[in-house]
Amino acid sequence: MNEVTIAAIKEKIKHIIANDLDVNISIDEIPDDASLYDGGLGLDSIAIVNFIVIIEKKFNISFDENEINAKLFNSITDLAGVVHTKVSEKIDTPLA
Amino acid sequence: MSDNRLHTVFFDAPPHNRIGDKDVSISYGDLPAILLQLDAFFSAGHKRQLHCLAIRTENNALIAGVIIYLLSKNINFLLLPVNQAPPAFCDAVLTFRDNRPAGVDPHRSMEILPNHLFNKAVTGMQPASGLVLFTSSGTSGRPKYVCFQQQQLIRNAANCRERFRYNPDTKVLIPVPVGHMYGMGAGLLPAMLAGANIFLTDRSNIVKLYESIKQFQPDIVLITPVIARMMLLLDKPVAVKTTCITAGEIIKPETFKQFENKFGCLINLYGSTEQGAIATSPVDETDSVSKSEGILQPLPQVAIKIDGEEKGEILCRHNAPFHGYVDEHGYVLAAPAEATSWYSTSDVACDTGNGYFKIMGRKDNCINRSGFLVSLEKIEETLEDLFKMISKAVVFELDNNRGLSNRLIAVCEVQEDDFPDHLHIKETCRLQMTRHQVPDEFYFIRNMARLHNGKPDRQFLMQHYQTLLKN
Repeated sequence: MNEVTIAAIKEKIKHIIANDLDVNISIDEIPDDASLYDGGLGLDSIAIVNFIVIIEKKFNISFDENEINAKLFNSITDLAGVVHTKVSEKIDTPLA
Repeated sequence: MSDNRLHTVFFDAPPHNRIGDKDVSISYGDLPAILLQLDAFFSAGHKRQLHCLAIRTENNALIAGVIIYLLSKNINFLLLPVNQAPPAFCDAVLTFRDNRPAGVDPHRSMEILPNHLFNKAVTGMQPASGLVLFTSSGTSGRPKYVCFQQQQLIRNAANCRERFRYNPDTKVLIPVPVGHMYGMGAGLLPAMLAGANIFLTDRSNIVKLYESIKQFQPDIVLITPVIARMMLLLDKPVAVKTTCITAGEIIKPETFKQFENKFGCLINLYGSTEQGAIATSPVDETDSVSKSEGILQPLPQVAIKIDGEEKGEILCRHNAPFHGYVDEHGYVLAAPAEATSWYSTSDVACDTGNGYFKIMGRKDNCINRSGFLVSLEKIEETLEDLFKMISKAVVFELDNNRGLSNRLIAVCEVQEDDFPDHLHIKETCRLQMTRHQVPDEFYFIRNMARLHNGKPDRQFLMQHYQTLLKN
């Protein structure tokens, strides 16, 4: 997966925030370096849970419980990086 | 001002056990030195003579020291939720500073500012009376001030310590606000009484909760029904199996069972700001079915009486009753409760035998229909169970001006694009509910009006449900 695809992941994540969560924010208002909660977009606890569930569903990935930490939500860029890694792993895993 | 000796119980804890938050960790062995620092802080400007100190509560380790200090000096204090203005009976407000340095230096970690609403000439509160006050939103959304003698609050906490078996080996995680009776009376105070290791986290963010569980490895976690549902929705195992305590709204049996299967033991706590902890799920009960159905066992030293043959209002006789409500100026509004008197909880329950009982709902949410006691909350719960598109239902009774029996109205919040068919809903209700439970009219809306505590605003809905429908 190349840089363009990471950019696409970022866009998709922003799309999810703007359209699938119950928050009053548009895609244009979401910078790449925005934290998803404290001091950033301010997603509340319920929004965060919904967000994780939707991300897993739309990218067909699963976060390990150890990955559910503040670092994951530091910024859209950080989250896109983790999603990118997981999506790549799925593509690289040969079928049994 | 003479010290009382109440606080010395906290010095009996193993000195290496700790009370911590994300930035600060203090040991019980540090407490005497911290109390000396706090004494210097409060002595400056004669703050020990305050009529009542409002504390803007935060879940941090320092608040544990502050509470113990205020108890030791009999200083009256009110635990004030962060977004609430202090009432006029408080002459000062303690606030924890933002971006405070690590450590427990009180001068750098917090400040006390005067409350300009306070008027010494009219206050009903005398300094150093040993009072602890909570705010309670109640069901009306208007704050009430609930006053305890500090000994009663400690006694209440001791009941919780016994029921939850807090001991020096226990690790207690408290992510619920310690500014409310649940977090303070069932969490921080009893855990401190037991000398337990305690970790406090601010705001019940699910990500922080998972991080805290992983780092702290608690035996007991205080959660809310909302957190329980979020954990189930997230569907990730937690780092360690813990006992979770929950309080607030009743958790549905299916949700309760799912939670126990996935995360371990869940204990439902029943209580109120006025009475503190009253009862819990039977902690030794291995039959998860009866636990999940909401069976409750009174706490030690608490007696329960059902005002009726099988079901009726719960009357509670507590060894640690509250002192009374106080008004904006600190005058006690209601006669102080006595340990020998029965307190009306305004909740309705049924007797399930063996001294256990089960909550049916609020008394003012129960109605009499043709001689049958009908719980509106039970109807709401059934509607939400039967129809998955209904995310929240509120049912109320309206007078029928035509002299007929009163109408039962159901206002339902629906998340799906299309509203359900009234006839289909009613027909299903007739099959699944008793005749007296079936609402006469259904109204479907997109967003339920709610109070600031997240509960539906019943008064607003009763007055405006037809208008909401038109919008």
